[in-house]
Amino acid sequence: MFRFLFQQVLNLSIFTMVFKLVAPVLLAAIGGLFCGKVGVMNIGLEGAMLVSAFFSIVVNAMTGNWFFGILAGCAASVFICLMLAFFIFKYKAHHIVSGFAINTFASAITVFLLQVFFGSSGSYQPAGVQMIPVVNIPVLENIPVVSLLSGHSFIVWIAFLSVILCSIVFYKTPFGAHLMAVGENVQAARSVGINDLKIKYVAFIICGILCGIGGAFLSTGTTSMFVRDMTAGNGFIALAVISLGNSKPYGVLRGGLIFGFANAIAILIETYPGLTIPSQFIQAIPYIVTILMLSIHTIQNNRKMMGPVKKISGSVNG
Amino acid sequence: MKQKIKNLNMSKKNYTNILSTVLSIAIAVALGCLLIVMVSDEPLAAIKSLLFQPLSNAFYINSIINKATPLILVGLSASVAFKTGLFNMGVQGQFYVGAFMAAIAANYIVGLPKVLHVLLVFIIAVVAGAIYASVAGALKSYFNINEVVTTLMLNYIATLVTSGMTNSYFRDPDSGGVIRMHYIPEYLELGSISSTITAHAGIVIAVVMVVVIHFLMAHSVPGYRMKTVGQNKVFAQYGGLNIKFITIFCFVVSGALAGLAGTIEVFGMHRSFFDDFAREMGGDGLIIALLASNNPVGVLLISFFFAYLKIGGQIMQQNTDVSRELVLIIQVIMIMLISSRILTPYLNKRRYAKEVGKSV
Repeated sequence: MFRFLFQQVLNLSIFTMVFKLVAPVLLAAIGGLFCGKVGVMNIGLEGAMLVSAFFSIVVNAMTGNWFFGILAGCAASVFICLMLAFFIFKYKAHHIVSGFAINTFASAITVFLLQVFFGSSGSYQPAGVQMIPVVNIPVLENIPVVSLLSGHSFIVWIAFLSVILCSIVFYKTPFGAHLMAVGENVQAARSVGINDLKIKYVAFIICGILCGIGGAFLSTGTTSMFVRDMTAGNGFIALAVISLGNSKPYGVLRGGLIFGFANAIAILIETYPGLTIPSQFIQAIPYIVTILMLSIHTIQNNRKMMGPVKKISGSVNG
Repeated sequence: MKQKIKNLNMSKKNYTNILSTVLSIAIAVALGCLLIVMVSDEPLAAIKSLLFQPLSNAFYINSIINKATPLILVGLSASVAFKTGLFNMGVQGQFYVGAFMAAIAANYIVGLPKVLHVLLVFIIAVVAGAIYASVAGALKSYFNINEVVTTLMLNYIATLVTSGMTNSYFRDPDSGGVIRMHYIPEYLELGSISSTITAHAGIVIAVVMVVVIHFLMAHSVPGYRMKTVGQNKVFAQYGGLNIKFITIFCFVVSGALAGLAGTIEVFGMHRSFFDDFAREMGGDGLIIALLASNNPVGVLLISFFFAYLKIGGQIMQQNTDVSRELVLIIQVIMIMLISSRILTPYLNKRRYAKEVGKSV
């Protein structure tokens, strides 16, 4: 079996899979990072992706255009995120409670609409879906190792681009500075004239757009169907990935890739012929790896941080 | 005198809270009905089956009791964690682990006297749920890893692993197309309460647990410590409480309750462990705890209300063209209205106006 895995890694086919798996998680994680910077742990990533997955495939099938699909998905996802932001900032609802409620809402409303409009309770597989295109780079395609870069979905590139852009926005623009200021200390930010509410809402809109792209990728990029609860914890894994990456854009990229590799290897093992253990065990691997990585990472971090200051256990992230 | 005023204020605050909860529920149900009218061809029939049919005969009423039983326990499970200021999003996973271990212990431990077997099965399942929850608790208290993320991951792990086990090693070969374990021995099944109330006896256990948790949280030292940690961690630390221990203890209690819920669901309702048989359970527990503002008696009432809605939703799905997901949407509207306390200011204003009017 290890030989089989090794071969797969060697012939680079695993990378295509890793990129495909990592793109939605990465997009959601970068979106969640924006919310995290303004001090909200956005549990609703999962729900935002789910509604986007649903609306993007519906509009895609109606118009026959992938771009309109993504736009519709983003609109739905932004709507969900704004709704969440509205309840959190305007009515001071607890962010975890309301994020959780948003997820339930997304799950219910997609199944409900599926039932109302398409008479199906589980999945929706329309004809005439235009898949999100794959980018083939003409020259690179034929060069052995570099061909790795070719043949990925358009969204994969957007996902990686979003990491770079996020890093630029955070560290090189006034908006990024304001974002950090609001997240670190709202009073201080207000006192220098930053409109904190505006910054917070913009962060949520950006999060909505990114989750929207990620969700659209799930339903119209890798497959051309919608299945109930098809996000399958991608949004939650994105949260773990944010913690893994110390809430820094490139850290998130690293965390996302670790998760992607774990998941890809799990899928490879699952397809390995003559395997006798149940496939569900293999499917659990990415989640186990995420918890393990999170533990190792946090222990290392705590060691680094443990200086003269003795931290009150569990005082962060309350 | 001061104490009296404080009490008065407290009771008024409670009154407003209860009023806003009831109003939120009413608004959510009304919005749900509006949604039915929008999408259904037979809105009156759908609304009737959702809201009135569940009380129309004894079978439905017993179904409501059966439905409410696990909801009460998972609601308590979530509320214990909330009171301690922790988010146990992993009720679902702990529920499955408890249910799975109960089914295993019921089927594969043989040769014990019956009474002993019953006890042992309950203990194994409850302990399994508690241990599973304490993983997240330990990670939280020793390494300060956010419990929300770990419990969410642990949910997926529990669902997948129990599903894998039921699909392979422990699957009943005679189960046909259904993926489940062997049926449990008959003497382990929870029987009906009486000949008229055919609901299984799990409800008795659930009500007892409501009393136990009420006592634990309101009248015992561990409960007081947990609440203190929940209200102000720094103060609790300063006061010399062992926060690490209390965090783990809270998860243990929470997980034990979820495990118990799983056990009762297996013994009372399904008589076996089916693959992924209660996928909304954890979420419902969290919502119930929130709506009841973590009050055990509130959990009991809200659970019955949810069970009522769920049975109504099932009847509606059977009889009309509206799917039962509508009930979930109603639940979400409720939770949004209540957690954001949108109504409270209006209620306060009205009361204020009334009082001012009286005094003039």
